[in-house]
Amino acid sequence: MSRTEPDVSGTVYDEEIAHVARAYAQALVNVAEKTGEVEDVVGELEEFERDILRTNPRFAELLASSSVPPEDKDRIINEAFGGRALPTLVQFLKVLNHHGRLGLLVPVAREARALWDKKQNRRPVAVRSAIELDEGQKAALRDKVAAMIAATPILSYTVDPSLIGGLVLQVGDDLYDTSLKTKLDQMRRRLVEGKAREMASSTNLID
Amino acid sequence: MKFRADEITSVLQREIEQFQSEVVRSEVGRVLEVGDGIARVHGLSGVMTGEMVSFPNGAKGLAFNLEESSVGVIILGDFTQIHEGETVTATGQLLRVPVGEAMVGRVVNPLGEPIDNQGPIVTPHSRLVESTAPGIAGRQPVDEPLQTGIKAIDAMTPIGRGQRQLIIGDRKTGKTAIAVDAILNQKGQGVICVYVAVAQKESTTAAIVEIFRKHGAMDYTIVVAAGASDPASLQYLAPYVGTAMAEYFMYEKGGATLCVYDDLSKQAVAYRELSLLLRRPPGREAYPGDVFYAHSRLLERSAKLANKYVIVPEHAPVDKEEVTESWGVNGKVYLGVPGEEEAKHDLKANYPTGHKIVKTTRSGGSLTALPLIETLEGEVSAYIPTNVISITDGQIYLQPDLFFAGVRPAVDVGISVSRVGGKAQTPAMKKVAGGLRLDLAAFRELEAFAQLGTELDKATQQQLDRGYRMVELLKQPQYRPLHVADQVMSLYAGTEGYLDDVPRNQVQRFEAEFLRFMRDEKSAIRDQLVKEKKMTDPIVAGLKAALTEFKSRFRAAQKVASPALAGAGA
Repeated sequence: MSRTEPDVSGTVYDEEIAHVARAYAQALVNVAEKTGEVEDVVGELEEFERDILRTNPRFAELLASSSVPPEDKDRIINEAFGGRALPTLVQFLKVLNHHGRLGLLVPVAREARALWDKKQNRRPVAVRSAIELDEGQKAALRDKVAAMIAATPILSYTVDPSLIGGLVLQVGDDLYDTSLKTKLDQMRRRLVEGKAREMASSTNLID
Repeated sequence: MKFRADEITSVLQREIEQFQSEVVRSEVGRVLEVGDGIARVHGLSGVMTGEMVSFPNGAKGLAFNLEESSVGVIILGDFTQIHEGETVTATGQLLRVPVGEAMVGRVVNPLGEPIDNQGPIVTPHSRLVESTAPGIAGRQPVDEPLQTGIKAIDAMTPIGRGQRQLIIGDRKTGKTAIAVDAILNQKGQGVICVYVAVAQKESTTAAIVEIFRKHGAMDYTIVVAAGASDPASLQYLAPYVGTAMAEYFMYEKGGATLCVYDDLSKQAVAYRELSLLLRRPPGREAYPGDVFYAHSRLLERSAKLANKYVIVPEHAPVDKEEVTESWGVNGKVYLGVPGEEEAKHDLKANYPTGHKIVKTTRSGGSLTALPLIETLEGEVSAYIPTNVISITDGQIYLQPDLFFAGVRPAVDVGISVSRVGGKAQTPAMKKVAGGLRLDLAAFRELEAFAQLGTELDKATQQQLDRGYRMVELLKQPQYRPLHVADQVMSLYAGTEGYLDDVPRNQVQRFEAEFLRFMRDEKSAIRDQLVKEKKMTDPIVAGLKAALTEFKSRFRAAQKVASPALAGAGA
C-alpha cells in the first residue's frame, strides 16, 4: 500500500485482446495435448517471448507489422525456427501469421501458460516477504501453501521491506496477509475508531 | 478538556492483550483504469454485486458491473487519489450507513458522515442502503393523514402516511417550497423527516437547513446532502441512504416518517452518467434500461406498515409502557386489518370479559415519500416524469403560469391527483373540500371562456366570482403552514359563500383576520373542531354564527378604513 510507486505491471489489460488470445491459446494447448508435448510447447513459446521478442523489439515489431506481407513472415519463421523449435509451435506461429495475429504473441503465451497451469492444477502464488527467504523456508512454505490451496503452487518471491515482518501471499484474487504492517495498521484502526467511543462514553475522558 | 493518561494506557493495554494474531484473508484486485468516479478493476473474481470494496487511500467503492474478467466499481469519495495498479480489497459487506436517533438534527453526506461541523455522530445502529421493500402482508392501507399545512394540498390532493406523492413542475415553480412547508408542519406531530438534497447547489441546501433550524424543524429532521460538486456516485446513492435512515424509525420504532427527495430527475441524471461511464447500453434519452427500476425500488420502500395487535388484560399499563408482542395473553400476534378482525373474533370467543385488543408500540410505522421531479417546459411526457408519475400514488403539478400570476402554491388542480390520500383525510376536511377540486377545475375552464368577453348569465357570473375568491383563499405564503382546523374553517367560509361579497383583494386579509378572531374569541369552536375532526351540527352552527358576527365587524372596519373602497365589487 505504498503511496509512492504503484506497481502497474500486468495492468495494461485489454479485454478484447485477452479474449482473442485465449482462443488461440486454447487451440494450441488442445493440439499439443494430443501429442503430449504441452509443457514443452508452452515452455518454448514462453522462451521465445522472453528471449527473443523482449530482447529484440525490432524483430517483434517486424512480426507484428502489417506492412510486411505474410509470405515474407512465413519465410522468416521457417528460417528462424524450422528444425529448431517443435513442429507444433512452428505450425502455430504460421497459423497466427495467416490470421494476422502475430502481434498477440505475448498475451497468447501468457494465456497458454495460465490455461495449462489450471489444467495441471498448478496455481501461481505471489509471495511478498520483509526479508529474503532461505531455501529451507521456501520449501516449508511450498508444502504449507500446497496443503492450503490443494494444488501445486508456483511460487514467485519478492522482497518488500515495508512489510516490517511476516508474509503476504496472493493466490489468484485471494490475499493472505500475515505481515506485521497490516497488523499494526489494524491495531491502530481499532484503537482509534473502535475505542474512541468507548473511552469517550465510559471514562469521560473529554469533559 | 482533560485526558487521564492512566486510563488511556489501560485501554491500550487491554486492547493489545486482546489482540489476536491471525491471518487476514481478503480478496483483492487491481485497478486497471480510473477516472470520472469510476474504476475498472481486474480480479475480485468472487465479489458480489453491490458489495463494498476499499481502495488504499481509504475511499470506498461499490461493485456495480460484474464482467467476465473485470469489475466496474463506482467510487464513493475522492477518486483523484486512486492510481492504476493499486490494490482493491473486497470487504464482503454490502453498503451500510449509520442510522438512529443520533442522526436527527444532523446534516450528513450519503455515507452518513456529518458535514455540519457539529462533531462526530455516535450511533450503534446501521442499516443496509439497499434493502427490500415490505411485502403485501407487511402493509396495510393508508389510513392516517399527513398534513402538509398547505390548504391547496390538504384540501384537494391530500396525502396519507405511507403514500408516495410526486411534486412535479418546471424549475422555479415552488416545488421545494411545498416540500419544505410540509416538513415545517410536522413540528410536534412525532414525524421524523428526512430531506435528501440531490445535486442541489450547496448554497440552496445551506439556506434550507437554515430555514429548518430557524423554525425548529431540525429537532426532527435529518438532511442528507449530495451537492452539485459531489461525485455522481454519491448523488445516485443519496435517496437510498435517506430512505434507510427513515426506515430505521419506521421498522424499529413504529414511527411515522416523511422523506423528501429533492430531486429525482437529478438522481436519474447522475445514474445515467454512471451507467454511460460503465458502458451500459443507453436507452431512451440515453438513460439506462433500469432507470425505472432505480426509482421504483426506491419508492416501493415507502409504506404504511401493518399494525400488530395483541390481546392483553384490561388493566395492562398500555399507556405507560411499551407494548411488545410478548404481552399477548394467548401468545398470538395479529397482523394488519385481517389480523384485527381475527383478534376481535378471538376476544369474543375466548376472553368475554377483562381483556382488550391493543396495538404493539413498534408496529404500524410509515414512510411517506415526497419525490420531486423537474420538468422542462412543462413536458410531463418526458421519460423520467412519466416513469415517476406511474410509480407514485398521485402528483401535485405546479404551473409556471399560475406561479407568475401570483397563485402560490401554483398547484394546477386539473391534473393534480391523489389516488389514496382521500381515504386518510379528516372527516371535517373531506366534508368542506369534497367538491372543491372539480369546482376549481371547472372554474379554470370557465375563466378561459369568460376572457373572450362574452356576456354571461347570472349563475355563471356567480360561479366565476366564487372561483376567483376560492383561488385567492387557496393562496398561502411560504413557511406559514396552517393547522388543519384553521384550513377547514377558512375553506368553509369560502365554499359556503361567505366571501362572495368580499372584494377579491381583501380575501386574504379577511381570512387572516377571521382565523385570528376564531383563535382569540371563539376558541371553544376551534378547540372542538381540533378535537373531533368532524363537522358536527354544533360546530357548523357555531361556525356560521361566528362567520356572521365576524363579517359584520369586518365590513364595519372596512368602511372606517376606506369608505371609498367599501362595497367595491370584484
